[in-house]
Parts: sequence; structure tokens; C-alpha cells
Amino acid sequence: MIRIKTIHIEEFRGIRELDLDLGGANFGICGPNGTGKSGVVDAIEFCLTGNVTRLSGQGQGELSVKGHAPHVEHRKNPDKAKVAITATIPSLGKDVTITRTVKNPRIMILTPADPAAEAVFDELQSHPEFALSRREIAKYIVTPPAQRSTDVQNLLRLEHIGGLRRAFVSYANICKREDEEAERARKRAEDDLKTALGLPALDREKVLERANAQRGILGLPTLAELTPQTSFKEGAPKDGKDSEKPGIAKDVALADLAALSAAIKAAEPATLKAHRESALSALRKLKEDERALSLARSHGFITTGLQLVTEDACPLCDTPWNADELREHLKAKLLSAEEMGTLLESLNKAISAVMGGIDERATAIRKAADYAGALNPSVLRAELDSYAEALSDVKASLKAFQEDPSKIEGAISALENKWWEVGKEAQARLDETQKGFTALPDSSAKDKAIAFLAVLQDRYERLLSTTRTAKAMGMRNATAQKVHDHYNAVSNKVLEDIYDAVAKDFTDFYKAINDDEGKFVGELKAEPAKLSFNVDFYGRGTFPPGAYHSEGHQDGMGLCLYLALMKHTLGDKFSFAVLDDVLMSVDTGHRREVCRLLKTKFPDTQFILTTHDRVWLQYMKTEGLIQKGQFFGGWNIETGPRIWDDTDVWTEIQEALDKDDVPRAAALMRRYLEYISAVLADNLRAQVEYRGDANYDLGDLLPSVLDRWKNRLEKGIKSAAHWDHDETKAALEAKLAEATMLIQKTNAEQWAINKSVHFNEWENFTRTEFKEVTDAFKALLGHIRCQNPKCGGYPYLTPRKGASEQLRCSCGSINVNLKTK
Amino acid sequence: MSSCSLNCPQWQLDDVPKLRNSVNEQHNNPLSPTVTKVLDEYLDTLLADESLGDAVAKQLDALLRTGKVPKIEDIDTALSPLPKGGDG
Ligand SMILES: Nc1ncnc2c1ncn2[C@@H]1O[C@H](COP(=O)(O)OP(=O)(O)OP(=O)(O)O)[C@@H](O)[C@H]1O
Ligand SMILES: [Mg+2]
Ligand SMILES: [Zn+2]
Ligand SMILES: [Zn+2]
Repeated sequence: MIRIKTIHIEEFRGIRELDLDLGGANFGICGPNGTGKSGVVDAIEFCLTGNVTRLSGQGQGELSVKGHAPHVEHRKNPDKAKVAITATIPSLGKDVTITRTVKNPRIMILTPADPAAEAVFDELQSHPEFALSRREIAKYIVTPPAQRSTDVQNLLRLEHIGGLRRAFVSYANICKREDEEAERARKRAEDDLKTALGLPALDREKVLERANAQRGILGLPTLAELTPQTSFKEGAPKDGKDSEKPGIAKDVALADLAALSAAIKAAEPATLKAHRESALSALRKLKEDERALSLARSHGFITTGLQLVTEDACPLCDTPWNADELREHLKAKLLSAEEMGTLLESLNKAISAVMGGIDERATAIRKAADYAGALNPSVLRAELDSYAEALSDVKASLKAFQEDPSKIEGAISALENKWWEVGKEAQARLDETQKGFTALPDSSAKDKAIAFLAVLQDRYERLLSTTRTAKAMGMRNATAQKVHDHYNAVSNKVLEDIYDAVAKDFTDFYKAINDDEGKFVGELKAEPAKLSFNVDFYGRGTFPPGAYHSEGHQDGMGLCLYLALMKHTLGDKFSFAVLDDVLMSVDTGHRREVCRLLKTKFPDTQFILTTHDRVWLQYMKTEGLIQKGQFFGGWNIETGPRIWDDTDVWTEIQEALDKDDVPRAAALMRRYLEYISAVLADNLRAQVEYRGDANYDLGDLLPSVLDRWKNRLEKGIKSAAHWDHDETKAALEAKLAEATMLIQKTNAEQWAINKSVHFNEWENFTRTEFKEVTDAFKALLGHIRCQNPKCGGYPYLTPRKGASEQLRCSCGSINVNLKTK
Repeated sequence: MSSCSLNCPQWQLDDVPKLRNSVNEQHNNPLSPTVTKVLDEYLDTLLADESLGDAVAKQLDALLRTGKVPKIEDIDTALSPLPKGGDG
């Protein structure tokens, strides 16, 4: 991927014009609320992807990049809003500049043009998660398992795996239904053949017996065996001369009509009734669910979640409601994905059975209509045809639902239809047809035999062909189920492995930032379309993070889970990440560990971090996580952020002094010393009077810090003496002497005693007087920090609790043993 | 995918078996390492299943590696050992 060197922003979000020089390294942006930090984050995201998640993401309905990304003064000229980023692409060893305007967000201008670089940015565009805000990171933690599964799969770029799974499921379902349909057709062919033969069951001997009896009448040779090639009518004359119409045997027609009228009399078969009723009630439940959903959606809160239903009226339209009831109602109505899956499966089964019954009836009716038309004079077949037509409409509605579950309404009315009931008119036509056939003169035995053999032939061939189809469909279905099952097994296993690896990294990271939580474990468990995330809670078991963990801890977990996921998705391409306010609620005790985690586990990733906490930024610097940062000191709509370069606070103090502005110089230095004192108090575990509101001023902190510094040096001298490390001892003694001298120059130890040198008085000092103070503090801080120019960090004690064993800095140049045992 | 979060049936319907016309999401992306891994292991499993011919396994594998979600018809063709005529 890339590393950002510089960012140039014009008329974008709350920013008028701003240049930041990141130098390809980690970078911190710090400023109070509303000063433009997120504006920078949005600008980076926009420049690299053409999009701003904050404006176009979930539930941002009325917001848009075109409409709201330009500075409000330029909301009508989106061409004025532009961002340019100069970046290094380590994999290509090239520097390029990429520019985008809000007017043409899809077009990125790359200079110099370079297809390889373009490919890198294209890839970046498909990973917009490089920029995340605290709110977005939190969603991985607190989201419901079903949504988490989608979110995490999106982040891991696993949609394709899910897409393939759905394709296999669809294919398996289609094959299953077509198999069932083929089997039903085969069964109908079998029944028809049985009816024609007047046999309760098909039996080779009996079939041959019946066929041969008729062939005997015609003087034809006996058939010895039944094969697929068997021709029953072989040798028979084409048509009987006396027959009513070719191919229709009176006996067979009467048998068919009798079977139909028996079926009509039996009304709805009990098994089909059970299927139909269960399908109907399931469908009604589904529909309710849909209604509840659209109701909820029309009130606009479904996207933010049920937990927001806490008010007694809709926050959008003020319609009063009973919050508890509504919540319960919605909960009861909204089916989970899993339930939906099983519901649809059993629905499909029941519906297929009903469709089979309807199909059978439709076929019998069509046949009866043909008989009606074949009589001479013919019976009107229109009513029968329209009944058959109605039946196939009902079947079509059911089929449509099977193919698209949103076609619920049609399926419900289809199932409410009493398909087994025959209308009066149609029934009359059936009776007439039956009468007509009964009244037909019995044809000669020979004609009867000819007609019988023709029907037998026809139905036998149909049975053969439907059986072949059913067999092929059966095999196809078996294959479909098999490839589907294999796919599920394989993909689940791969996903489980991934989730295990991610959970393991997550656990490592989280342990690293909370080193006291030794037994901590995090688990990611995948169920179909669901991903549960549970974490240990003080050895009492594992629970969803939201159950017992504090928000600060949840934030920490969010960060760790995000890092684990990114590591897994991008591997060594994870070269760049923007974390907007993500570290906000990591508590003071864990800041150093977070910095170290980022620094040590992701040394090749460029982090851009924003915070509104100055001490936090200071920590990042002290810990060597960032070398550079940018303070946003204030914001107004005309000018955008006012920036203050912290890297050179001394220069700024000097500039104030040059202008004879002692009060400003004093204020700057006081604020700066406050940060440093807070950092050092923590680093050195200085003894400070405890304050519940953590509102320590310089007088509370600095004298104790300086005391503690001397005390730790003394401790180091004792230790060196104990271990006979003479050189170290001498060096530390020199350091202590230097400390004593430099501290004295600052007058800090006199603050309590001599009011006239107190820092409150600084603003009344003359320029020369204050210059002396400045120089003294600059020298003192220079003395404390690591002398390695690449590090320059402030030393700290390890371990963080109990007897301190070592005074060190993050590069290891400062490394003082404090142990005497 | 819809913009709905939560246990939203709209989302669930999306995850539930959908048919012919619904499964033509286009994914032309190069295969991610994870997808490749799934497909590699899947091919092994298909080849190990003796009830499925090797030819079928390879045809299906080739189809899945195009990087698109295959159409139902394409899966059907890939799984049919012989080119099919009509709908027998
Ligand atoms: N399109 C815009 N035009 C003008 N001003 C804007 C625009 N978008 C945002 N702002 C303003 O820009 C200022 C900076 O907003 P931004 O969100 O960057 O602040 P922030 O530093 O991230 O604050 P916080 O710490 O609260 O997250 C705010 O005052 C905001 O109202
Ligand atoms: Mg912000
Ligand atoms: Zn409302
Ligand atoms: Zn150092």
C-alpha cells in the first residue's frame, strides 16, 4: 500500500486551506472538539477512495459527499473542494501525488501517471477500512452477531465465499424441487397405468397377463417379457372400425373418470390438509413479520436498532407508543436469519406436497375434459378447462413463492384456495361425460382390445420416460446436495480457522494493552450467518463484550479486534491506517501499552491518530509512536482550524519573547510544562497528592516529579554500588549532580516558599527574567530525556506496579538498574 | 445489501436461498487469498469424493475461479458430465 508524505486540503469540510507534512511516518493530530481533526481524516479517505463514510455510510440518508463535503461557503461549487496527497509506494519505490475534487469524486488524478501506482490505489479503494472512527470500530464489538458476521466478512473480504455458498444453496434447492416434481410426474404416470390396467399395484406378471389377454382376442402372439422396448400393440390393426374415436377405450375412460370422482368425493386428503395448514400459518407469520418490519422502518429507527426504542413516542413523528410493548412486539416478530432459514425450508416442503396434489387434480381434470370433447355429441369442456386453468394458476403462485420468498401474498391466497372443490357447472360436465361413456355401446371385443392396447402402450411409454427423467433428476439432485455439503464443510472450516487466528491475535493484542489481565481470552464463534464474539470477564466465563465490560475496555477491544482483522486481511500490505479519536476512552493506565502495541506489533504501518487530549499526544511522542504531530488550537468558520506546531514550542516561546509578549510566552510554557509534568509523574510514578478530578496544576506535579527524578537516580547509584558497577555509579553520580544544579536554576523547589518566583508570577517577569526561566527548563528537560536524537523519549519505570526494577527509555539507551537484590 | 442493520428480514432474505435471477451479483475481483484457500480445499474434497467424477470436479472448480458468483445454469452445466440437450 502506501505511506502518506504530505496532505494538501482546500475548502473541504471545516477546512479552508491546510498543509500537513507527515513525512511518511506516524502522525498525531490533536485539538479540542470541533477544530477540524475529523476533517483531515475525511479528506484522507476522500482523496484515496472518492468517498466519505461519515457522509455516505449507513443511515446517513440525507447526507452526501457532493452536498456536504465542500466547505459550507462553497456548497454550490464542489470543484473548489479538493484534496491532494503525496505518497510513497514502498513496493514500487515511487512517490506519486493523487488529487481529487468533490465535483468529480470518481476521478483520481495521479501524477506522474503510472499504471502500477494506479493499481495500488485501486486496491486501497477496495479497503476503505484503513480509515476508521471510534464509532465504526465500536460496531465490531457491540453489534448483534448476525450483523457482525456481515461486517467482519466484509472487512475480511469474504463476501465472495458467502456469494458462492448462496449459489450452491440455490442450485441445491432448485435441483431438489425439480427432483420432487419429476418424481410426482412419475407417480402420476404409474397411477394412470394402474387405472388403465385395473391393477392395485404394478407387477410384471400381471401387466403381461392383462396385455396378453387382449392380444389373445386379436390373435396376436403372447408377449413373454416386459422390457422398455416392449410394444403391446405390435401387430394390432391401427384402429377398430367400430370404435367411438381412435385411442379411447370406454373401459379405461370410465376407470379414469371413476378415479377422479372418487378423489373429488374424498375432498382434501388429510396429509395435504396438514401441509397446507402448516404452510399457511407459517406464511402468515412471515407476513406479519414483514409488516412489523415496514412499520418499524417507516418510523425510521430500525436502522439504529431496537435498543433505541426507549422513548414513549416516536422520536421522529411523535406518535405515542408503549416502548416496552413495541420492543417486545418487534423482538417477537423479527425472526432471526436462522429461524428464517428453517422456516423457509419446512415451508417449501409443505408447499411442494400441496403442489403435487393440485397437479394431480389438474391432470385428471384435463384428461376428463379431453374425454368430454371426444364424446359424440361432445360435452362442453370449457368449464373443465377453466377449472384446470385455475388450478395451474394456484400452482404457479406457489412456485413463484418458492423461487422468491418475497411473493408472500400470492402464496397465501393460493393456499387459502380450496383447490379440491369442483364447481357446480364443472361437476355437471363431469357427470355428463361419465354418463356419455356409460351409454356408449360396448364395442366389439376386438375393438376393445385394440383401444385397450393403444392406451396401455401410451401409458407404459409415459411411465418409462417419466421414470427416466425422475432417475436423472434424482442423480442430479444427489450431486447438487453433495457439492453443496462439501462446500459448506470446507468453507466453514476455512472460516473457523481464520476466526481462530483472528481471535488469537485479538487476545494477544488485548493482553498486551492490559498486562494485568493474564487469563484473558477472546473467542470468535461462527454459526451459519452469525458470528458471536465473547470475551473473558475476570475468569467468570466468556460473555459478549457489552455484557460486563466497561466502555473503555470495549473501546480497547474494538481497536484490538480491528487490528487483528486488518492484519489478517492485508497482512504486510497493512501499511497505513487512520484512527480518528479511536483511543479516546483508553484510560491513562493503558496508554503506554497501546502506543507500544502499535509500535512493536505494527512497525511497518503508518498510523495517523487524532485525539482531543493533549496529554495523549504527548504520550504518543514520549513513547516514540509518533515523531510529529499537529495541534489544532481553535477553529472558526471563516478560517478553519488554527494550527499550532508543538514540535517547536521553544521557538514559539522565543517568538513571543521577541515580541515582548511575556504573558503569552509564560502561558505557552506553563501549558507545555503541565503536559510534560503529567507524563513524567506517570512515567516515574511520582508521589502527587491525589485529586479525584485529576485536575493537577504545575505546582502539584512538577516539584514532586523533580524530587522523584533525583530519588530514582540515587536509587540507581545505590544499586550500582551494590553490584560493584563503579563506572555506572560514577556516571549516575554525575547525572545526579547535574540534576541538582539544573533543578536549582528553575526555582521550582522554591515555589512553595518564595511567592515571587512562583509560576503564577511568570507573566509579570521582565523579558530577561523570563528568558532565564525558559532556558533553565529547556536545559532541565533536555537533561531528563534520552540523549539518543532518534529517541528523545522521557524515561519511565518498569514494572508499572510494585518495586521499580529499572529506569529506561523506549530505545533502551537509558537503562538504569534499580535492584539491590 | 440493504442499509438495514439489526435482525432485519430484508437482510435475512438476502441470506436465504435465492433463485435464478437473484444470484447474478457480479464479482469480477481477483480472488482473495482466503477465497483461493477455500477453493483449493474444495477442489481437493471434490476430487476425493469418488462418486463425483474428476472431470466434473475440475469443471466446477474452473467455474468458481472466474471470480464471479456463478449462475445456476452454469453450475448445472459444469456438473453435467455431458452437454445436455433439451431438458431431459
Ligand atoms: N462542510 C463544512 N463546512 C463548514 N464547516 C464544517 C463543515 N463540516 C464540518 N464543519 C465544521 O468544522 C469543524 C471541525 O469539525 P471536525 O468534525 O473536523 O472536528 P473534530 O476536530 O474532529 O472534533 P471532535 O473532537 O468533536 O471530533 C466543526 O466546527 C464543524 O462544525
Ligand atoms: Mg472528530
Ligand atoms: Zn415515527
Ligand atoms: Zn531513548
